[in-house]
Amino acid sequence: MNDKTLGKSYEKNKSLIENAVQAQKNEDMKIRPFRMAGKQAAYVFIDGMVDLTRVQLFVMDPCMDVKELPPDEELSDFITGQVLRLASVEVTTSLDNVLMRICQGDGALIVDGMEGAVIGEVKGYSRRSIGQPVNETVIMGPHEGFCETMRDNVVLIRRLMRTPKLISEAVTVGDQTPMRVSLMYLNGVAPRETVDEIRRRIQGCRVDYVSSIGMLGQLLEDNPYALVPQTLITERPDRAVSFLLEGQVVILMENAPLALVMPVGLLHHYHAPDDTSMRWQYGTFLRLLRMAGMLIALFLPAVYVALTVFHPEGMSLSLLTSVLESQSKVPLSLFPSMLLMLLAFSLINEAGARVPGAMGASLSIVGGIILGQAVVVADLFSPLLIVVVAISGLGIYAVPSYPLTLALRIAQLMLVVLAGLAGYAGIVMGTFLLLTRLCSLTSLHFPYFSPLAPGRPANPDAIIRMPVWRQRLRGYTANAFRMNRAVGPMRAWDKEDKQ
Amino acid sequence: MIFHGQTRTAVHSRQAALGQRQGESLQNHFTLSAMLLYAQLVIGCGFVLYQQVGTPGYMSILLLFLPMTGLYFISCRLAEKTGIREGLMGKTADVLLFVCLLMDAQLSLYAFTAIVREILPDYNTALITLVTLICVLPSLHRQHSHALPSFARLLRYPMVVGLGISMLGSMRYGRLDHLFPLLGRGAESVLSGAFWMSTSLSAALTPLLIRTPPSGKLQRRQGYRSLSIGLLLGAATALVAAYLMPYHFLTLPDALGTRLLMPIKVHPALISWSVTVCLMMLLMLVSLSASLSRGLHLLSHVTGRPVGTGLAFLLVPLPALSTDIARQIVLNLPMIRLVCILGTVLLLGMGCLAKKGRAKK
Amino acid sequence: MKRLCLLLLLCMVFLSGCMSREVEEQLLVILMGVDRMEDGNLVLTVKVPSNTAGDVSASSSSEDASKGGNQMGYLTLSATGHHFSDALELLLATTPRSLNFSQVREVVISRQVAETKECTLLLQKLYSLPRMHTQAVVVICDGEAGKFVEEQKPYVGSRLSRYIEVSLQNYAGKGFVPTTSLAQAVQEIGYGWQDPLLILGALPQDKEGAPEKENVLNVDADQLHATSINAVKLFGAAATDGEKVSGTLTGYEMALVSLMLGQSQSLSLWDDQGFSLPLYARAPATLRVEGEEKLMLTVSMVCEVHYRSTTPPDEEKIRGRLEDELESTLRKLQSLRCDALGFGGRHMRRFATVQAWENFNWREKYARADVQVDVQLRLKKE
Repeated sequence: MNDKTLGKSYEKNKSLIENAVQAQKNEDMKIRPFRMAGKQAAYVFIDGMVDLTRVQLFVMDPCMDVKELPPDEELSDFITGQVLRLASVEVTTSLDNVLMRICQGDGALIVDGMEGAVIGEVKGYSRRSIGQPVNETVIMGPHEGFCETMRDNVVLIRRLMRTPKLISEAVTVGDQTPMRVSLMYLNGVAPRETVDEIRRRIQGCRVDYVSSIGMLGQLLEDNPYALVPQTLITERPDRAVSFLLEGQVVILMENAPLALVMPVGLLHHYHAPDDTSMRWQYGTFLRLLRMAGMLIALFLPAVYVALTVFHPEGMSLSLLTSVLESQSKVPLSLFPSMLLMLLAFSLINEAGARVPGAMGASLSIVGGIILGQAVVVADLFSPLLIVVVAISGLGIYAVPSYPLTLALRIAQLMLVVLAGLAGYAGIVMGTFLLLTRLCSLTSLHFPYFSPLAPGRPANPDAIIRMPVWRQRLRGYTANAFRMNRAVGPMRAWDKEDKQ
Repeated sequence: MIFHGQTRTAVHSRQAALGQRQGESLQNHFTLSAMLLYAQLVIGCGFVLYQQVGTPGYMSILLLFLPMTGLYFISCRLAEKTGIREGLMGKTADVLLFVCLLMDAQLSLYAFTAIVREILPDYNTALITLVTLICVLPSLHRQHSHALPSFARLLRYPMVVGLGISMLGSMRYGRLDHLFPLLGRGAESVLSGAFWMSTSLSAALTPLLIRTPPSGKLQRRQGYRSLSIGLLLGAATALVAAYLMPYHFLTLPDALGTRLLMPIKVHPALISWSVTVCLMMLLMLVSLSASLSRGLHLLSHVTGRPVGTGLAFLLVPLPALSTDIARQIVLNLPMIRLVCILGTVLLLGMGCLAKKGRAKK
Repeated sequence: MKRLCLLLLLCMVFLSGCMSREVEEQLLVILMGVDRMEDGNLVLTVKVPSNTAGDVSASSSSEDASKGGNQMGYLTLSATGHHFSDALELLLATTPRSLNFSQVREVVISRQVAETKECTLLLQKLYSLPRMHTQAVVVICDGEAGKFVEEQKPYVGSRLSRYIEVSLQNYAGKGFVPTTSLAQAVQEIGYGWQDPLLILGALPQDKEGAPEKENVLNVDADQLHATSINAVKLFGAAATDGEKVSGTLTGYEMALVSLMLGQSQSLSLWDDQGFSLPLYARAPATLRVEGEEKLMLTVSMVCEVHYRSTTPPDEEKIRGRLEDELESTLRKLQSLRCDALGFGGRHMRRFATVQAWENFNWREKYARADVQVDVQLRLKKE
C-alpha cells in the first residue's frame, strides 16, 4: 500500500484522509467516527455540500443498525449491497478519487477491515434553479436555459432527446483541481473521429484549473490566433440538441451554465436559435436581413471613409455635398473621427454590459443624449458619421452570436484603418486577407466555411432557410453514413407533396 | 490535411466518401483555374488585345477554345501517368511551367498596381507592390494550400453577380454600331491576337498542377466546363467593352490601368464604378496568389524541399517596379509563355514515352 | 500573424498620403467654361460650391443665396493662358484648394473656340483631366463662356448640379437639346460613325415685339422670345463635322432630329387654326444607305398624329409638311457636313475591315448624297 492507496486499516485510512484534507484547518471538512457492529468506521464529507438528512437516513442509520458483519473480504459487497440505501455507490481504493468525490459533494465511508472506501451520492449543496436564458432570448421557442450544475444540464438535454443513443461520457480536465466535463453526442451520428479527437484534446490539456467553459474552448480550438471563434457557446438546451442531431459534440462542464459545441463553422454563428421554429418564409427573410446587417456592419464604415476621402467620384453629388457641409464644420478629419466614433460605440456597448442594473438609465442618457446629440450640436463630429456608425452598430446587433459580434467589430476597425490608408485598394486587400484566412480555418479539421467552401452541400439551410420538409439530410459535421433524417416524404400525409 | 465531413449524398463506404471529397476539392481547383484564366484574359485584353486587335478582340478569345481543349485533355492524360515527373525531363518541364506561372503572377501584380495607380494616382508604386505581395503572403503558406480553392468556390457567384452589375450598369450606353467593322484591322490581326492570348492558357494545365488529377470522364468534363466558363466570361468581357466603345477608342494607347477601367471611365454609373474597381482588384489578387502558390509548389517539387516565398518577393515585382522591364516582358511574353507551355507538354510527353519504352524492355 | 502585423506596419507608411485628402479640402468643380479672348489667349472658368453652408458673401448671387434655408454659395474662378494646359496650370496654382473634376456637370465652350479645329483637341484634353466626370454635357455657347458659367445658378432648389440635371432632362425629354456627353463627343467626333450634336446655349437679351418667325421654336438659343427665371437659355444644337462645330440647328430642327433618333417620342405640330396636333413616333427612324459612288440616304418613319376636333386634319398635308421639314433638316445637316443620324455607322457594317471603311471616304460621299424621307402617318382621334 502506498500513500495514495487506502488499505484495510481504519487508523491508517483515517490518518491519510485527515492529512490530505487538512482536517485541523478545514473546519467544514467533517470526519464522523462511529461504530458499525463493533468495528470502527467513519464518514467523511464537507459540511454544506451534502444533504445531511440523506446522510443520516440512508448512511448513518443503516450502518449503525447493523448487528453482524461478514468477513473482511465480503465487507464492501455487504455494505454496498445491503446496508447503504443510496442510488449510486462506488468502492475505490484511490485516495485521489476519494478526495475528488468528497470535494464534489459526495461522502466517503471507511470501515476497519474493508479495503478502500465506499463513496455514496449524497450531494445536497444549494444550486440555482433552471431559469430563462439571459443572452439568447427567442420569440418562438422554449425558455429554459442551462444552469451551473452539470447534472441538471445533462438532464435538460436528456429530457429533450429521449434516446439511448445519446451518450454522456465523463472526463475530467485540470491537473490540480479536476473539473468534471461531460461529452455528449449521438452514437452513430457523430463521427467516431470527432469524438476521439475531442477526447484526445481534453485529455491533452496540461493546466492546473479550468475556470470556465470559455477557457476550455480556447484550449480546444484549432486556431487560437484566428479572429473568429471555432467553437460555439450556447445557453439553450434546445439549441444543444439541434447540434447533437447534426453530429456535433456538446461539452458540459461543472459550474458552467453554458454548453460548448464542436465542431462548428461560421454559419453556425450566423443562425439564430428560433430560425427553425418559424415558417420558412420568415426564417429566410430574417436570415437575409441578418446577412445584410453583417455585411453592412463590416463594410459600411470602411466604404464611407474610402468614398469620401479617396473616391468622391463614386458618390452622387447630392450626397457628397451633404458630406461636405457636415464635414466642413468638424475639427477632426473623417478617418480619425470614424475610428474614434467606432471606439466610443464599442465603449458604450461594453459599459452597458458591465453597468449595474440601477445605473442602466444613466448610461442611456450618457450614450444617447450626450454622445449622440451634444457632439453634433458642438460640431465635434459630423451627423452623417454618427448615422453611419449607428447603422453599422445595428447590423452588428443583428448577429446572434456574441463572440462573432466581437470578431466583426475588430474586422470592422481593421477595414476602416485600411480604407483610411488606401481607399478601395485597402478594403479589397483587407477583404482578401480576411476571407482567405477564414477559408483556411478549421474546426476539429472540418473546414470553417463549410458547407459553402469547400462545397459540402446537404441541408438547404446554410444562408437561407429552406422549408423544413426539404431538409432531409444532416449537416456536414455528421457521420457520412448516417446522413438521412427521413425516409420518404416528410409530409407523407400530403399526397400532392412534390418532394 | 484530412477533412472529415459530409458528402453530396449518403454514401456506404469510406472509399466512396473519400472519392467524393476529392471530387469536391478537384472542382474547387478548377474554379480557381477558371478565375485565373479569366484574369489573364482580362489582362491580355488591356495589355495587347484592345490595342492590336480592337473590336474583334472577343473573336480572338473565342478562337482559343480549340487550343484550350487540346491542352487540357493532353495534360489530363499526362497527369495520370505517375512517375514521369521524377526524371530530368519531368523536372525541366516543371521548371518551364514555373516560369510560365511566374510570368502570370508578374502580370497580375502589374495589373493590380496599375489599377491602384489609376484610382489612387498619388501613391508610390513600389509601396503598393510591396504591400500587395505582403497581402498575398498568408495565402501562400503550405499549410493553407486549400484556402485559395475554397476562396474561389466562395467567390464564384458573387463574382458573376458583380460582373453582371458592372456590365449591365454600362450597357445602356453602348451601341451595336461599335461592333463594326466586324474584323477590325483584318483577319490577320484577329489571328495574331489569338496567338498572343493563347499564351494565357496556363490554367488549362491545371491537371499537372494539382495533386489528384481528374480521373473519370465525368470529372474531366467538370474541369473542362469550369475552364470553358472562364474563357466565355473573358470573351463576354471583351465583347461588352467593344459594345461600349468604338474601334478607335479601344485602340487608343493608354496606361494599363486606364485601359482595364476604360469601360467605366467612359460610361460611369455610380454603383457599377465601385463594383467594377473592387472586382478587378480582387480578381488580380486571386490570380496573383493562385499563380504564385502553384508556382512555388512546383518549384518545391523540383528541388525536393520547401521553397520560401523570398523568391517570389525577388522576381515577381520586377515589371511593376520598372516600366522598361514591363515593356520587355510585353514584347517577349508570347514567345516565352508559349515556349514554356509547349515545352512542358513536350517534355512530359517524351518522359511518358520513355517510361513506356522502359516498361516494355 | 507576424506577417499580418508586418503588413499593417508597412501600411502605416501610406499615412502620408491620406492627410491632404479630406473632401472639405478639395473644391468640386460643377461647371467649366472655355473662352478665346480677342488677343488670342484662352480663358478657363470654373464654378465651384463654397464648402461652408450659407456663405453668402462668396456667392455670386447673394439675393438668391439668401432665400430659403441652407443654400450653398458658389464661387467662380478663372485663369488665362495661351493654351488650355497653361490656363489649367495657372488655375490650379492660384486656387487655395485642389480642384476635383469628378463632379463636373457641364462643360461650356464658346462658339469662337468651337468653330476652330482646336475644338477636338480641347474636348480630348478635357476628357483626359484626372478623374474627370466624362458624363458631363458639352454646351456650345454664343458669347462668353465665362459669363455663361457665372450666370448659371440654382434658381429652383439650392443645388446647382441638381438644377442643371433636371433642366437638361426636361429639355432633352422634349427634344430641343441633344444629350451628348463629353465621353460621347470625344468618342464620336472625327471618326465617321456619327457626328455628335452639342447643346447650344446663349445669354439672350429680353426680346421686344413679336417673334419674327412663324414657328417660334424654329430659332437658335439667342433668338428665343421668352423670359424666364433663367438668364441662361439652352435651346437647339451645334453640329460638328468631324473636327469642329460647323453650324447650328434651331430648337425645332433639333426636335425633329431627336424624333428621328428616338431620343424623344413626341413633337407638337399646329394646324392652320392654331390647334395643337401632337405627333408621336414610337420607334426611331429606319436609316438606309444605298448606292456606291452616289449615295441615296433614306429615312423612314412611322408616326401618329392625335387630334381632338370633330373633323380630322388633312393627312396628306401634314405628311407633306413633315417630310419637307425632315428633308430640309437633313439637307441642312448635310450642308454642315454633320452626320447626326448615324448613316455612317449604318453603312460601315458593310465593310469588313477598318482599312476598307477608311478608304471609302465617307464624309465626302455623305455631303454629296441624295436624301429621301418617307413618313407613314396615321391619324388618331383622342
